[in-house]
Amino acid sequence: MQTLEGQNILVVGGSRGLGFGVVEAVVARKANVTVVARDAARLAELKDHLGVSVIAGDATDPALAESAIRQVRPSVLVLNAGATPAMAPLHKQSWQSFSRNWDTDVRATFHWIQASLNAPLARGSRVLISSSGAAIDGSPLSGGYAGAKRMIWIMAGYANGLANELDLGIRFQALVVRQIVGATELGRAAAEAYARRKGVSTESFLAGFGRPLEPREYGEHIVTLLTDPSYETAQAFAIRGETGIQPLER
Amino acid sequence: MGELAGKNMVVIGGSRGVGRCVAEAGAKLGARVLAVARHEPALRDLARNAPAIEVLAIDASRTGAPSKVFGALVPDILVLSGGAIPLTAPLHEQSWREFAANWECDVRIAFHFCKAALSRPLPVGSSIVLIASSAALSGSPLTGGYAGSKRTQMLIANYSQKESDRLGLGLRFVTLAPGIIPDSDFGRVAVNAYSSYLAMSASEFVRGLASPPTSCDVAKAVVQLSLNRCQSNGQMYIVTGKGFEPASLCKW
Repeated sequence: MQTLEGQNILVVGGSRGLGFGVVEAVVARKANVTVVARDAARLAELKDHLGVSVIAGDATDPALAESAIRQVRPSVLVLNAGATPAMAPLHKQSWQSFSRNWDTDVRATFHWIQASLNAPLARGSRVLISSSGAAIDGSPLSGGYAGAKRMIWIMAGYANGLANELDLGIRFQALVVRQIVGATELGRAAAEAYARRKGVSTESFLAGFGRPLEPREYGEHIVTLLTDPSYETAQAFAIRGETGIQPLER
Repeated sequence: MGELAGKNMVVIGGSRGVGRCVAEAGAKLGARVLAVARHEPALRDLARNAPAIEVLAIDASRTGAPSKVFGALVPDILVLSGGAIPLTAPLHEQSWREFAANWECDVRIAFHFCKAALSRPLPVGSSIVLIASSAALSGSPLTGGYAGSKRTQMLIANYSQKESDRLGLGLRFVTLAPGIIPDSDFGRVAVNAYSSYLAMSASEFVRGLASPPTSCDVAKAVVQLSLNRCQSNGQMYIVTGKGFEPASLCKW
């Protein structure tokens, strides 16, 4: 798509963190933006300040996915909903805390992918799915987070296979942020845990990633991914403060 | 005396497939072997055919399973081979429960037993061998959350090794990644699903696989890695019909 102006963009998990950075960036491009999140009070703020439409609900609810897609008819769906993992080494986790990101992030992604394929979204639609650099490097203090994020990346591939087979013209793309983002709640919690383990300050730990990635800047990268035709086909992208966007697979 | 004489071996999922081959190979080489599985009939069959092998019927994915198992036998070699057979269907035809079957079984088993190995801890020098799958590296579009679950098992082994090293526990965690094993129950299911998807016969599909391992090939790899103590801590190995070789998870 050459411009985002007038495009219907649905951001699931867009009230905070990186998802909010995406919302700000696409609002600035005059897209018609709808935000799905659980926190109704926060959504009311977003509605007032940014003029976006809002849907309050649990992203892991398949009925919500189906009705939101029917209602909004998005040409861009950004799947960013996820839980903040419990930070502790494996043997200090409970099965429940270990599974948190599977039960939230993977489950939500699973239902929204299904709803996208079943609706189906219009030809030429894009679905951006939040994986993580942890899916490559692992994340020993975050329970099942890295495995869950890997599953999400793998699912983007499965969804593309089905979209091709069914000739739907929908493209699923995984986003892999290759650094801990200190400005988000999740990134902050992770950075604090890893810094403590290494015996360094959170700030110096974060400095090890080089140039920080701010949520709004991340949003600008998403705008570029959507509007620059050279990013139309790759199935996954690495995103970093230092190096920007880099396709990860053919 | 066999090469494993004096060793205690516990095999989770020891009544069928790869687990059964491992249990039988272990017993043959002189280890004291405890085979653990959910289904009593298969365990009874194993006990009848291999009387030297001890058996325990228990659901290994339950929180309390490790203490019951280690109460029966504290292993020098713990092999985690049990798991669910996933529904074979494309992503949009699965329910969430079906999609999550391997997470709720295979990953649970790996989590509880690796956690127990670190917390108890198992004796210095013990090996914990997880049987994952090369689907963790290449994906498996018809088996729901199987590939991500197997990936998570590899990560669990990797994290556990780091934790053992940090705490100086002297444990060794190793993961095996075999491709489709056509002679196992799940292998047969996978072969049928993928061959019918590709509109070819099962035997044609198997002929097209690059040296697929048998259950016993995987068991051989387990035994050799349990014996060989050199530089393999935390390592992942790809297993084919030709043998096994180390691979790096980060490169996949």
